[in-house]
Amino acid sequence: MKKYLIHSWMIMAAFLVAASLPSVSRAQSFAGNWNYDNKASKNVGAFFESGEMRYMLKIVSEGNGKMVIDHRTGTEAGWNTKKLNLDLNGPETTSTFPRGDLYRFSFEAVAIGPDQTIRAKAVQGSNKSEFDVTLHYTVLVSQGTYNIVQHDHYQLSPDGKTLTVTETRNSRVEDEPAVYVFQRAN
Amino acid sequence: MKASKSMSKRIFMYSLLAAVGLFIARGPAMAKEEAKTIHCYVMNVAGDWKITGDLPREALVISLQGLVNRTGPNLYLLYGSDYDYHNVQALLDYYHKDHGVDYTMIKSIPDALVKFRKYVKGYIVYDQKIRDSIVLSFTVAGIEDGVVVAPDQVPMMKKLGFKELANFEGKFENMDTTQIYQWAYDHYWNKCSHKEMIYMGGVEGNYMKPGIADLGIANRAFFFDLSTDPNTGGTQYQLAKKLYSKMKPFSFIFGWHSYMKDTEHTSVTLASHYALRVEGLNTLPNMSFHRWIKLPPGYKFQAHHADLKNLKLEKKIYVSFIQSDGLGIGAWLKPGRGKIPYTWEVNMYWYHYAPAILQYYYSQATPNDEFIGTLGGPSYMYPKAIPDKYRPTAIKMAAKLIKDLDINMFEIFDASDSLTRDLPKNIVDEYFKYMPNAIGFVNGYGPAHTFATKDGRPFMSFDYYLPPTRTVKEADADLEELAKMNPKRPYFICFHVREYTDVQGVMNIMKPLGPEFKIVPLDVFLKLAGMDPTFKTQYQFTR
Repeated sequence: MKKYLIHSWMIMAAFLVAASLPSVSRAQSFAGNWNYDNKASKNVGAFFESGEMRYMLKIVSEGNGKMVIDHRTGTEAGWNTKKLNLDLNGPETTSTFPRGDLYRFSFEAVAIGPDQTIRAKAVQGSNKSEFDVTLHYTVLVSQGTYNIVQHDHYQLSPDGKTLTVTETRNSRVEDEPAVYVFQRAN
Repeated sequence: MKASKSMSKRIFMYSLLAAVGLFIARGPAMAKEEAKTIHCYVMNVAGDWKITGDLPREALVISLQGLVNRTGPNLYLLYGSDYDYHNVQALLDYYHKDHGVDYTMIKSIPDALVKFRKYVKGYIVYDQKIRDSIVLSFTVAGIEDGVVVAPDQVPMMKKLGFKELANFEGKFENMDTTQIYQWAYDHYWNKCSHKEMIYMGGVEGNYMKPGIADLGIANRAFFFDLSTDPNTGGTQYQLAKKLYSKMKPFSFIFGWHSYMKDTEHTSVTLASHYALRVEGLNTLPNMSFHRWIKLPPGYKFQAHHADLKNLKLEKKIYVSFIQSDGLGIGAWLKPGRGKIPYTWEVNMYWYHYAPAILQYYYSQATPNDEFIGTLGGPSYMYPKAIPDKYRPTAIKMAAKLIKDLDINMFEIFDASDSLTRDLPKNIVDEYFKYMPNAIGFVNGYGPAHTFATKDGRPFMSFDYYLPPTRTVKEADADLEELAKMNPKRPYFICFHVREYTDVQGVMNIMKPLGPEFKIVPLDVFLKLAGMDPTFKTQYQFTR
């Protein structure tokens, strides 16, 4: 009986490990520290283009497709951190961004208000080297607020050393997408 | 024949009388003309500003300029066409044409030293390996009436018969920056004027651009290069704080922060904590000369103002442009000025320090060129960092200056909080209260989000900032995005233009945009915004 129980437990454990492996790996392959590559990026905000902005991504896998993308941007005025929670193919997640200017909007008067909740839905298909995120958030503008819908496409290079994030948003009129390129640190 | 002789005699007499009359009439005028002519000398210091390159020549001449301009406008320096300040030659031409300044070129340093020998008691030798020793030597130059020299220049000085006043070769080899300026403080602080202090920062490493040093030497100011960053500055920050605390409120910090060790924001924040006035840059040239060029008797500054009566609001996107960073390093002399309404930030302290520079800009301004007072206070000050007890005085001083300069608009920028450029309500209210002569206010450098109105006077923030890297296509997409996110009309875009972009460049951006976008002068813009403030009243959030 004891032998049977141990055997059953081992089968179950093996099953659980096997079932969780794809989820872990799909987020883990993106995990790590990423340094912004100004030269390879295109049509990004003026802050980034001018080189005034330092930009890093830290992606932490939390297992089962869950991950946290920590956007760290810095100017001579200081560092700004925004942590985005994602769940690949899971339910919509929420994150809270600190109040402040949004550098993706270049030097337009667009900011995140206090305690602003960001809703995000992350989807990954069969290609595990890419995923898409749809973000919903409200920004402050001079006449009040505006609801932004933003689509981000994350693409990992075959060697896993380059991460390309292509971004579009509903507020931008007839414009090419912004392409942010990052190189894996270390 | 007799008649003819008599006629000749009469003609001779009349001619004589006419000549005497002419002499009497012209005499005072000629004498006046003679009196107003200013004779000065001009030297060229253009070079590479390398400590191991042209700086020894440049620093020596600038220190000489500080000494010889103590008693009058004796020496003016040219800096070359690629220098940070574009108007150096233009101002000399203006002084020559409109202020009776006549000049003679001096081609060599020995010639200059011989010419101005009576002003120079000797020389101070700095250590070329230690940048701080150069900065310190400027302080000593002012106190001891000497010029600063590199070791290689000592033989020349000796040959010309000058004596050594101080020699810092090897003196500071085992000292760090804080120790060097502490030593300078211990030995020279009490002998310095405390009306001004000079932050000799800017470019670092093997470069130094000490354009402002002549003013500091002329006025016997203390020079320093200490980090103002509380997080990374360590003992340098502590000493900088100590120096600032010794200055009387509303004294001046000339120069600029170090691009290697701290930031504009930490530097201005620290100065504002002690209610000190920041005036950049370290490159600012000829200030010891400019102060002697007086305004004509009875001269009053008259700026251009639009007719603000009977303004009618339209369902438009109103755009108004302000050029950043004051007059002198901007696009004043570049293409397009005068073609569209444009506003220029004014260095208001020139009213006292160099009024003729302002006269130059006022005289050249077209009806499309308006002026706005800057920045936060009578100089560059962060209102949130100024102690509460000094802020009303700072605003009142600024209000007096804009009145004297015939300006009715004022700009504020506060980066003392790294996360926001916005202002709390109590400070916005203070500007409304203590600057009643302003028809409106503009806040920010990059965009900000503080908006309010009081009795038809708007307090607005920049909705857009144009950096030099933005293409026409990108900037147009930015403006159209703003227009989409701010759907009410009229919509008011206050547009800040970095000094590297000229007016023609701005016109190129506006051209592809549709007729919904309407460019207006800033005073019209503020008046219209006050009439229909479609922006939402908001202040800095409490965090």
